Amino acid sequence: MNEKPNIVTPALIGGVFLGVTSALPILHYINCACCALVIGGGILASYFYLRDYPPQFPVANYGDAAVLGALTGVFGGIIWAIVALPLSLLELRLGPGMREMEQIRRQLDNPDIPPQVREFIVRLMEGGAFSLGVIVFQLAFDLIISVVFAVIGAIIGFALFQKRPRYTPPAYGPTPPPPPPA
Amino acid sequence: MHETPGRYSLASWVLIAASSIWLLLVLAPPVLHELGWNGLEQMIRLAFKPVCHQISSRSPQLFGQPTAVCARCLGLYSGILIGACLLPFLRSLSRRLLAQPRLLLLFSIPMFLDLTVWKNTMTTRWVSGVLATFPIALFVRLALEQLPSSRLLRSHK
Repeated sequence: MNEKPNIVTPALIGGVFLGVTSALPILHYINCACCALVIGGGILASYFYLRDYPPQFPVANYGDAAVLGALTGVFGGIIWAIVALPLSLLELRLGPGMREMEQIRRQLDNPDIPPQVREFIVRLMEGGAFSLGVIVFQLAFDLIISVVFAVIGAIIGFALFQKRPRYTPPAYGPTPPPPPPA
Repeated sequence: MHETPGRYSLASWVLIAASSIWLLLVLAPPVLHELGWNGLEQMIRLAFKPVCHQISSRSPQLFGQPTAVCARCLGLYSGILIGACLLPFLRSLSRRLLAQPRLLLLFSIPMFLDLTVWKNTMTTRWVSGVLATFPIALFVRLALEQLPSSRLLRSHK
C-alpha cells in the first residue's frame, strides 16, 4: 500500500481537453455556458482516475479530487497558454487587436482620465507592451480560472462516478444485536 | 475537522472567504467605474471574459454599469457562497446529498429548464444558477476538509 494511484495520466487527459478546447477560436465560446469546457476537463480527469483506480487501494476521497483537479487545471492552463498565445499574437497582427487598440485610444480622449494616466497608457501602447501585457495578464488569469474550475469539475466528477461508498451517514437508534452463533 | 451541525468548520470559513472574494471581483467593475478607476475595471472585465459572454443586457447593473459576468454566472458563483453559509444548518439535506451524491444533477434541472423551456428573465437566470451550485458547496467543503488526508499529497514511503 505504499504506492500512489496514477494521477498524472488522467490529469493530462483532462488538461489537454480543457486547454485545447478553451483556446480554439469559436469553440471556446462553450465556456460561456457555466465554464463548461474547464469543468468538463475536471470531470473527464476524475472519470479516468476513478476508472483506473486500483481496487486494493483505500477509497479515494474528495481531497484526492481537489488535488487531481488542481493538477488538471495547471496542465490545462499551460496548454491553454501554449495554444492561445500564438493565436492571440496572430490576431494582434491581423486586425482585431489593432481595432481594440484604436478603441482604447478613443476612450483615452475622455477628459475625466487624469493626464498622467493617459500619458502612461499611451507610452505603453506605443511600446507594444500594452497589448503584450494584456495577453500575459489574460493568460495568467486563464491559469487561475483553469485551476479553480477544474477543481470544482473534479469534485463533481467524484460525486458522479465514485462507485464505492465514500461516506456513511451516522446511524441513529439502538445498535442491532449481533447474530446468534451458528 | 468535521463540521459540528450548526457551526462552521475551518474549511467552511475558507470556502466562504474564497467565494466572497470571487463575488467581490465580479461586482467590482461598476464600483470601480463609478470611482473612475477605469484601468482596473477593464482588467477585471478582461479576466472574466473567457468564462462569460458579458452581454450587458443579460448582466445585472450597478450604478448603471453591468457587472463582470451575466446574471446566470453571478447566480452560479453566489450559489457556492450561499451553500457554504446555509448547508451546515441544513443537516438532513447534507446527509442525503453525501449518501447519494448524484442528487447534484437534480439541482441543475431548473437551470436547464430555464435555458430551454420557459422565457427566462434576469431573476430566473440568477435563481436557477444559485440552485445549480448550491449543493456543490457541500462537496467543495468536504474536499477542503479531506485535503490533508489525501494520499496524493503524501510522499512515497
